[in-house]
Amino acid sequence: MLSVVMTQGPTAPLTRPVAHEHPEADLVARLVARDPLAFHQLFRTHAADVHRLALRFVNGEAEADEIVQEVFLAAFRYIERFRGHARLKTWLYRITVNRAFKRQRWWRRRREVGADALPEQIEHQPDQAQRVESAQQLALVRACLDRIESKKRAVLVLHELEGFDTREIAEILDCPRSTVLTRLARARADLIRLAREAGVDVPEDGGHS
Amino acid sequence: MNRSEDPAQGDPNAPVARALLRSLEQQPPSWDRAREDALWRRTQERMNTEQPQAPLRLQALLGIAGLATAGALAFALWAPVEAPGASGEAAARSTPRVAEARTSASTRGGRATLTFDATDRLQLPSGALAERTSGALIEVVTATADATHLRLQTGRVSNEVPSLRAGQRYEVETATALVSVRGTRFAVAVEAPDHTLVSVEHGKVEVAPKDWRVVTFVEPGEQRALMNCGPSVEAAERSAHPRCIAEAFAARAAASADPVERDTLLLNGALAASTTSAAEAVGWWRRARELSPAGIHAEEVAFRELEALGQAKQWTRRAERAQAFVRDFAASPRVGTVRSWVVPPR
Repeated sequence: MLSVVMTQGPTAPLTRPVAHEHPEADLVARLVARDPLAFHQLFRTHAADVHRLALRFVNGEAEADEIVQEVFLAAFRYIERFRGHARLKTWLYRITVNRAFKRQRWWRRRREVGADALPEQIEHQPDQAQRVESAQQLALVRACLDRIESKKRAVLVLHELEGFDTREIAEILDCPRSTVLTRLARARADLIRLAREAGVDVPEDGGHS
Repeated sequence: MNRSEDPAQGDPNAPVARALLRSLEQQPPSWDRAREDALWRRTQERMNTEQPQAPLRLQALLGIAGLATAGALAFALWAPVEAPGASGEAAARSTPRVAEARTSASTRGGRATLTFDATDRLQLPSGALAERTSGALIEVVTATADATHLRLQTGRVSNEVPSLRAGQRYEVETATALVSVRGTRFAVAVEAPDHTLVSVEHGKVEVAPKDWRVVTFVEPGEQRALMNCGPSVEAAERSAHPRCIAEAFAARAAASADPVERDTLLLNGALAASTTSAAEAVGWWRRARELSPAGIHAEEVAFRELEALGQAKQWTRRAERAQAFVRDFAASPRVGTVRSWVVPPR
C-alpha cells in the first residue's frame, strides 16, 4: 500500500506559514512538500469521518465514495491554502460540505424529493416502541432531514450528528457564529415540523423517542 | 466537539430534534479497511496525474496561454468529428485543458479525441454537457453535431442534453444498458461491472437493457437499476411475441436457484408482458409479486403492478394496492406519485 508513486511537488516554504504551535504543523509541512506518506496518513486518519459526513448529505455509498476522493484530491491540490487556523479535520470537513453542496446544486435533490415525495403518514401500529426502532422510522426521519434547506441542514448535521460546536461549524461553513446559531434553531424547528407532518412520533421533550 | 458549552442549548427544540436524530446517529458504519484501501488507490491514481497548484501569477500566464491554444483549437472542434473508440479510454483518463481536440489525417473528414477538462466536464459538439465523477472511465464512441455516443465503463456521468432535433441522438452505453434521451438532465452510474443505475432529474429517458429489446422509461425523480443477472432471452425469442418472451423469462426464473437472478428474470418477464395489454400485465406483475414478495425488485414490481392496474382501470383494486405500496415502501421516492393515484373505492 505504501509503494506510492506520486508526483513530487515543490519543496518551497508555505505560502501562509502554519503557526509552529499548531498541533499538526509537522504533518502540514510534509503535506505541503507533497510527501506521499503524509497524504496516506491524512487519508487513513480522516477518510472514514469524511465518508460518514458525506453520507449525511448525499444518497448512496457510491456518491459518498466519490466525495471522499474529491476531498482528498482537493487537499492535495490546495494544501498551500490551509491557513493553520483550524484543525486539518475541520478544513477537510469544509471541503466535504462544499463538495456535497455542489452535488446537491447539480441534482437539485430537494426538487426531486419534493413535497409529494414525503413518505406517507403511517397508520398506527400496535407496538409503538418497536416502530420507533424500525427502518421505516429511520427512513422517515432521513426524508425529513433531506427536505430541510441545505445550509440549515448542514448546521444541524454537523452539530447534532457530528458533534461539532457552533464555533467549529462557523469555521467549517465559513460564516459568522451568529448565523450558525440562527440556522441551527431554524433547522431544528423545520425538522420537528416536517417530522410531525410525516407522522413521526415526535417526543414532547426529547427525554424519550 | 463540546455540545454542553453550546449556547444553542437554550433552544427548547434542541432536545426534541436530538431525540429525532438519535436513530440516524446510531446507523452502523459502512466504512471498512477494504473500502479505505480501494478509495485510497483510486485517489492516489488521480493524485499521480495531478500537478500541484502553481502560484497565482503563473496561473494567470498559463490561463492566457491556454486561451490562445483554445482559440487555435476552436477551428478543429467546429466541424463534426468522430472520436476513435480505442483511444477514448486513455483520453478520458487524462486531465488536460478545456475539451482538447487533436486532429489526425483521415480521408473522410477530421478525427479528434475529445477529453474532459480539468473540472471533469466535456462540452460535446451537439451542445450537450457531460460531467463525469472522478475516476470514471468513459469512452467517447461518437461525438458529432447529430449523434453522441458515450460508453461508460465505470463511475458516473451526469448529462445535460438540450432539446434535440429529429434525427439527433444522445446515448450512454454501459455493460448492461443503452440509455438514450432527448432534452433532459440525467445521470448514469456503473456501480459494479454488471450493475447500471440511471437517474433522471427532468425530462424522460429511455432505457433498454442490453440483453433484451423491451425498453422502459425513467421519469424525473426516478432511479432505475439494471443488472446483468442470469441468462438473457435468445436472439430468436427477441423477435417473438412479448408473451413468448415473458414465458421464456418465467421458465428461466423457475429453473434458477439464485434468488437475485430469479427476481431479475421475473421482472424482465413481466416487463415484456406489459407491452401486450394492461390486463395481462396486471397478471404478470401480480405473479412476480407473489412469487417473490420480498425480492430485490419488490418496489419496482409493486409500482409496475399499480401502473398496470391503473391502465386497466381497476380503480378500486388500485386504491387498495396503492395504500399497500405506501405502507410497504414509505421511503420510496415513488410514494408521492402513488398518493396522487389513489382514488376512493366506489
